[in-house]
Amino acid sequence: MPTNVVMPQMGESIFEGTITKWLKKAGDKVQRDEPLFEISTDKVDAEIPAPATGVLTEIKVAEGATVEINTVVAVIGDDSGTGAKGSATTVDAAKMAKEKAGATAPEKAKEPAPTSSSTSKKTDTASPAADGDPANAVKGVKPVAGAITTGGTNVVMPQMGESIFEGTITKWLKKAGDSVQRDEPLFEISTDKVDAEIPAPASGVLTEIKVAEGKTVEINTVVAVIGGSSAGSPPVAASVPAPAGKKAVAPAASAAPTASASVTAGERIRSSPLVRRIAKDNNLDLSQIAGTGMGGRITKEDALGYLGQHGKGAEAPAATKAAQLSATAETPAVSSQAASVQSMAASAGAPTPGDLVPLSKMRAIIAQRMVESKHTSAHVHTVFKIDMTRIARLREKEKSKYEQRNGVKLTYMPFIASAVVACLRKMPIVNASMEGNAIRYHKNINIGIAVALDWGLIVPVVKQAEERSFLGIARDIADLAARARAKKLKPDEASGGTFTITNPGIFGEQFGTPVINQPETAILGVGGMFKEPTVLTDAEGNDTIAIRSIMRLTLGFDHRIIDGADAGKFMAELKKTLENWNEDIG
Amino acid sequence: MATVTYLEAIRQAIWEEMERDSRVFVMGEDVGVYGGAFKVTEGFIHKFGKERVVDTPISEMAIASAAYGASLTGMRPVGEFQFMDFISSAHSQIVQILAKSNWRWGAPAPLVLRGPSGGGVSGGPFHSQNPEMFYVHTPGLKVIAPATARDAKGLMKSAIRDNNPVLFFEHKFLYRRVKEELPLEDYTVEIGKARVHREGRHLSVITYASMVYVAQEAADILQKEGIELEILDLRTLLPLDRDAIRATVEKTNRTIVLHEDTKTGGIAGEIAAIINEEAFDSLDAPIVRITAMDAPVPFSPPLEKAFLPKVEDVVREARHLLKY
Repeated sequence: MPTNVVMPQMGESIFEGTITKWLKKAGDKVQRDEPLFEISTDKVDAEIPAPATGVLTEIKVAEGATVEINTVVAVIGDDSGTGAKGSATTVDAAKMAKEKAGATAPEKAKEPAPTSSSTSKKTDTASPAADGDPANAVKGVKPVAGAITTGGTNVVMPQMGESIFEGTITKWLKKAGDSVQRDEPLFEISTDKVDAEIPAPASGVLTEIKVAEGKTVEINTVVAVIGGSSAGSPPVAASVPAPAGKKAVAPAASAAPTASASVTAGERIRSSPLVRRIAKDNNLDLSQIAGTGMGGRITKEDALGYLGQHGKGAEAPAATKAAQLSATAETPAVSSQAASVQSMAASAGAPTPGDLVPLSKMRAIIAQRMVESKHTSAHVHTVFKIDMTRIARLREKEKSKYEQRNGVKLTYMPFIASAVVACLRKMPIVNASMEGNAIRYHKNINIGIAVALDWGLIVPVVKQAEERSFLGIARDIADLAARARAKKLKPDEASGGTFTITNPGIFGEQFGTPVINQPETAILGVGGMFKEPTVLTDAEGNDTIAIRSIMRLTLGFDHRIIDGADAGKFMAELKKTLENWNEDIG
Repeated sequence: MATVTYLEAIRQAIWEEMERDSRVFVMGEDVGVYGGAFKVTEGFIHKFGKERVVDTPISEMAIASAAYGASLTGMRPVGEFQFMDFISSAHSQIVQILAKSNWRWGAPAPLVLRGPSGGGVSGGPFHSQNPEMFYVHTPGLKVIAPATARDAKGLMKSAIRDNNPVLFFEHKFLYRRVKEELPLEDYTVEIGKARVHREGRHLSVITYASMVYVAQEAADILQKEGIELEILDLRTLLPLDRDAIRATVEKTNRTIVLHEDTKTGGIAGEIAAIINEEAFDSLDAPIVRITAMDAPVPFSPPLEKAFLPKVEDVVREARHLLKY
């Protein structure tokens, strides 16, 4: 990541400084804190040290020039940035420095250096990230005028984990021309590890979206621009590339005209910011709602009443939305009012039979991993009936107090998870992985918890579960599941598992045959809990029939390294632990 | 539990803090033998002696400056201004030196400047003002304006224990009119946190100090019409509790900001801007400001009544907003 070198502020009332001497030239290697240049200000003369180690890729302000404080005067690039691109940049930089020196000299008396135009300065200081992009590095050395007109903060595809090199934009939450706040969610991405909402790196108008929904790009690719040449006008919107493939899917061509026809030209629907949000969140068409407020305004109550009666509108499939964007782009004459109404009205219809909907990134990964797993492991499943009555009673008795005391709901999951941890401790082969011709016995017990999402499935991991108390595990599970649903998981929180628990029992299943989450070696499927007549035998051998809370647990295991006997022992141990529960639950 | 007035609550807070911490002392005009113009420090001189209960000349500038100096030497002074109207005489000291001391020189100034503000008592234009906004606009200060006896005591204790310069605007109309049972044990109220004075679901009145009671009367009237007002008492004006403001707007979607200070440059404008920034799409109606008129406080009782925000104003605006 290149580092900008700025003119420092050498005292409270000092607002500019003159570069008297460069101690390095473009292309030189510099060490952090090594003197880089000398300046002269109203108060002091000083040697300024380099803020980072690397190669001085560019000198932006020549000797003799006076610039405002915080003006970028040079850029220090990564040491590793060699090769053709690196040297070209250096040459250009040197050339530019020369050009600038020439341009500056005659104007020096009345004005600071030309670079200190406020636009270019803002660009430089606000977005060091911009320089990370090769395209921009080239831009940076173009004549100054060019740099100013294309200024703004570049929004890049972030790196969501060490081994992640690309990401797919699944959804833009803003459209070109919208104002965004720094840290406000801007778009959603999907990567090999996690799905996430990406916040805006700066406040301003989203001037350009460079990468359309559904496209996969490398990390650090510029996907949008915030601010800069603030042409929040149709030509900018037109730069949204509409994926041709998707356009064919959606009947956008017919949808758009119909929608705009339903709006009488120039007539504005009176509502409120809240009502518009309710409409947007629920896909309501405001033109269908009768307003009872002053002047026919649609009030909150009107919108909620309509929602109560008619329910949510249908979610537009992503394809339709993308096509809509392109439709808007192709007709720049349409007024923004009409456009917004159109986008509201056109958002009808979930995928209908006959549609071909591309896989989401997450779906594609699940598909790939599941088939891989079936190809890799010799799956065997064993089902055990567990009498959960003791735990069910304990839970019933404790759950409200527990939640009050600990702020976390007492579910069955932490019981099962901590019993699994205890049994894995005793049976390390179940907490292992096959590596080539060897078996890796894992140091830690990292329990993956499968979490169903509206848009797929993710398995966040309770790390080092062997070190956690019951309450610690309960808290972790609740927290990870909540954040998984809110797309707030960090990449490493969904990796590194050594054993997975999946709980489809909530849908009422008896038992399932889950697929192992590679490279793990076993997975526990939790079936539904049912009251069943059960034969109980007392100490003297008398049999009685009682109604007990029964749950079926399935162990899916890899027969390559776990034999039926080991699996049986593990499950017998798990059954014993759960049926005779006597752990402290905190 | 014992029932105490707003004034007594403040008195107790300072008294208890002086007992607790020998660095705390009071200074001001006639705070000694006379016990202060409103008797907040009555009896202090007998208990703590004149070293810790210091009479000053009639100079707010001197009080602020001496308090600052004392704070730099490790003391925790509580300076009284007889009327907060005259805080302007110490303006330069407060704004230039106190507020910036820690930021410019790394020298914290743990001191409290307190006194009565507000109208409704026919005090005329020099003894009825609400000068808090000059200081809310000054980063580096904390500004407090409590409405209840409980908050007055708890916030005064927090102010004395705070390491920043704190301006404590007491409301003279409330001094002896508000009574409440207070806990016997030591307690504080966190600075910077608003308080929901009354829960409601139709409309929020965001307010502070004596206007909390105007909102309360209006809420009682509107309740009979089935309209539930939620009253948010800001308690601290700097720093403002943005979370609480957002939360109440998100809950009710309609907002009145009510204050006794004059309209232009009053905190209602700031709060409207915060709502705009943080909760715009929770609004189902425009934000309404109800404030005093942009005029000096009149001396004549009928004129002062016309000048100040009234219960009828809140009732009228609330009804209008509910219909909007």
